[in-house]
Amino acid sequence: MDKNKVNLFSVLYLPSFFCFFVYALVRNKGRRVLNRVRKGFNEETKVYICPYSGTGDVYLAIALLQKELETNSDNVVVVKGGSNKKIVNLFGINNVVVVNEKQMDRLTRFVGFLGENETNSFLLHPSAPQIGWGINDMLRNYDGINFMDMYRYGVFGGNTYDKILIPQFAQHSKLVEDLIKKNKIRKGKTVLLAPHSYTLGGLPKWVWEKLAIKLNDKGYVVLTNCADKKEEPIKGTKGIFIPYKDLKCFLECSGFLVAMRSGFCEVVSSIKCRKIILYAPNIYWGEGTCTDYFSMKQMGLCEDAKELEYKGIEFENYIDEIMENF
Amino acid sequence: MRTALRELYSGTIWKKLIDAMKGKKILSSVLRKNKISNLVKTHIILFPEYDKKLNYYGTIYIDEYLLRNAASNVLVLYCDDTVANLVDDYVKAKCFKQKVETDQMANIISFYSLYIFTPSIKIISLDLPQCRNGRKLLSSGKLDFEQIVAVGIFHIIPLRRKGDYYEWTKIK
Repeated sequence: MDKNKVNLFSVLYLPSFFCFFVYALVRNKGRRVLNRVRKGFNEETKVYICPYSGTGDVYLAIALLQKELETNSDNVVVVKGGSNKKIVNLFGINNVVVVNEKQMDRLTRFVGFLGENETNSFLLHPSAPQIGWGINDMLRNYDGINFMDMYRYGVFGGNTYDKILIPQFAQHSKLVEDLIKKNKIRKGKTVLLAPHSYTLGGLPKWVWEKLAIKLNDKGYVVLTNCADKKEEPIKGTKGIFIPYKDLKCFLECSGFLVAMRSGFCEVVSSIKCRKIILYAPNIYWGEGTCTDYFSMKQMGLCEDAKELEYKGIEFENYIDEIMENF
Repeated sequence: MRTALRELYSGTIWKKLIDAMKGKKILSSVLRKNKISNLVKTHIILFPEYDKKLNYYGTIYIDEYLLRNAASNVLVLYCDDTVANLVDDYVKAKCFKQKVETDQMANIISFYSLYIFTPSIKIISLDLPQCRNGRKLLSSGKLDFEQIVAVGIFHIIPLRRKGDYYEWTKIK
């Protein structure tokens, strides 16, 4: 049956009591999620919700949250997925509740219905996708609005400190020391590849394999960052997993990172190492490309990253351009 | 269901649901009065604000919005009388206009935020429904009203600017 006709029928012909059924069967589930989140906290606790599970989105939202938290010391952050909880913990916030996708959708829609003031909550996204009436996301890249601006102004209305908060990475890590010994990592002569990117484009596998061969020939140890079993290491390299909190120890020792632009780049943006960030061309976000919107330099995330965008299918030239940094 | 009904008496939720019920009733009577039975060909535009600049930009892009969405008719509900004159001057498509009171408009928006009964609806406001955050983005100083309305609300991409609010105020 045509959904439009069903919806119009419900507006025109069903009695107004229909609203109670919609609430009881649908929106009420969001209220239950909110009650579960608030369990163990007092009524004044403000609930900060990250409705979108992108790593970069969660990172930016929490990095800009400092000024807001100073006026709301009683707070709890709600995220989707365990890895996002680790991102929040990096900033010293331990009151974190993890929900699954369905729960996050229901919670966000409930807050959209009742309101942020009424629920004492704050949605940490410029246009939460679950809500359906947001307008900010359409304005990406218009007059230079980039990812950082979208969060700084579109979420916080400019009520943030100029400098974003830097995460608290571990200063020493036994896990990293063991990894260094096990993989014969050479200080300043090891390259971590991060080829996996889920939102923006990637590169063909052979490009990474050829790059790994060239780096090996030049005497570098090459490893691939693999967050889970689904992410396979690049052929000719070894796959390793480094927890977020240990990334500083690892990258400051290894020296080099070559990464496809993804949320992982936000996490490592403050770490001092040679960062080569790769962008796929011709992916348009509003009025500009993804490079315009996500450039880490333009966002003010880091000044030392080398940002490269390839042209068409000129991958051989691209590999040469990357190799110029080694 | 029982727990849901118990919690309803918490006050805020109850009030919001009553508002939504009233909004549904008003919307139903408006649709019947204008004999609208198809929300694919007819889109709904709500003007809840009294901001003349916002309403001006919200009106001049209605035809472009209908063209890009393959719609031929529009139902305009407004609170500010200026909108009626703007619609007469700038909207060429078949248009059903109706003035509603401020609280009636708020109730319709409450109903929409409870139950998105159609995707064919645009609300010309930077702040409504709740959690819209449009006014926050203005604080960047990089965007103007026209962009936020035409691109943000109407999704008119690419945008070719149509009007000048200050020129319009001089003509007025």
